[in-house]
Amino acid sequence: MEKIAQEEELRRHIEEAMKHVAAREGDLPNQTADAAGEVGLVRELWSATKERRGKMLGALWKDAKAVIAGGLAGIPLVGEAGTLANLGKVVKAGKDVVGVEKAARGGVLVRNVAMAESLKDATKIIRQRKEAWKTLGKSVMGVPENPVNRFLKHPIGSVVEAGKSYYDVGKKAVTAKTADELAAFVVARGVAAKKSIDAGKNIGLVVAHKVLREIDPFPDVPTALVSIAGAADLVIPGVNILPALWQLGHSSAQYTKEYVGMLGDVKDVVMGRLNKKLTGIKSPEAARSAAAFPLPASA
Amino acid sequence: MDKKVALVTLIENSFVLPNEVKLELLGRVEGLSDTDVEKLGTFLAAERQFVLDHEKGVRDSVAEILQMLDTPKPEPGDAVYVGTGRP
Repeated sequence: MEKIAQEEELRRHIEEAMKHVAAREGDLPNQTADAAGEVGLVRELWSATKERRGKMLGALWKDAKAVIAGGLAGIPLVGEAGTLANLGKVVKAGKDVVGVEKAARGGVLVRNVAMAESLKDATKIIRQRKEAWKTLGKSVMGVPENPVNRFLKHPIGSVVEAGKSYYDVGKKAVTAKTADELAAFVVARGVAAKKSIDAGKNIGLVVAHKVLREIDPFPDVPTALVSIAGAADLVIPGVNILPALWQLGHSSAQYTKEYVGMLGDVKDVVMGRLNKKLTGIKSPEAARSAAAFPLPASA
Repeated sequence: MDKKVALVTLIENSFVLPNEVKLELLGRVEGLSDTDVEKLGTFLAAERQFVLDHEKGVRDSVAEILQMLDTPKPEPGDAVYVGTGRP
């Protein structure tokens, strides 16, 4: 009897939490603040890790990423044509591509059926994400066009270039006819990006690329895996901030009107929502929940 | 407190998990193994503690990133109109 009551309580908690998260996801200022908070936390974590203050948390994050990837594996995602894809397979595809990249460096391009199957899944995920972006664009009043295209056209400095190369990977992936073509450009893109990152001071290195590199506290994640757009959210925390900021910038008239006299521009809106989020993490319920998981002494 | 219930609260309040990942994970909490609950819960508890310890740093990082990216402004002819414009 007690077990049934506990299960019911858990379900109630899950339903409540899902409602809250879905509401945040459906609200543009909250969505942008979430992306900003995500990127801000990871950037701070990166600074702390460099100074070794956050070393244990870094180790825990790697562990958590494995759990998250494992937890998400098997969740079917509906693709462009209603096909089912699997994020776990995409992560595997990334690993396979890394193998191809390594082989390519040695002058050998590995071609095998198993990889072709994995890459097909990666393509489906990329398509699925493009669809999600299209939907986002249509859902915002006055912005009927795909926000990714609009975002790329917008002169916000070198961020555009980073977005473009990021987007090009997805575009070419979708149009690639064979797994070999797909593998070839992913390898080329991966190697080019890696060189660009390694160069550090490369003149062509774009600001956003620097930002993305800086906010990824664990640069040992293979570049080729980062290139798989569908898996990027798990690899580079905060990538959502680019489309989110773009969209909020274009909807600022609506939100400035909403906050007139209190908040002036997009940055204020984002910071205001971030403050509310910080209040949530300080709540007694969050404190009690955290206490259920005692931390290692050095965390 | 039941660990899965605690995990739900921590997922909901996490900074580092994107919302779409939160929703997917919440849908999977019931089926997570005790080991995974412990690993994920420990990470999210550490994340919370980190945010509390580094609140100023997190705020400053967000402000700096927003400044660095610069908020995109609508191009001329690309204005978004709300309502009819009439009182």
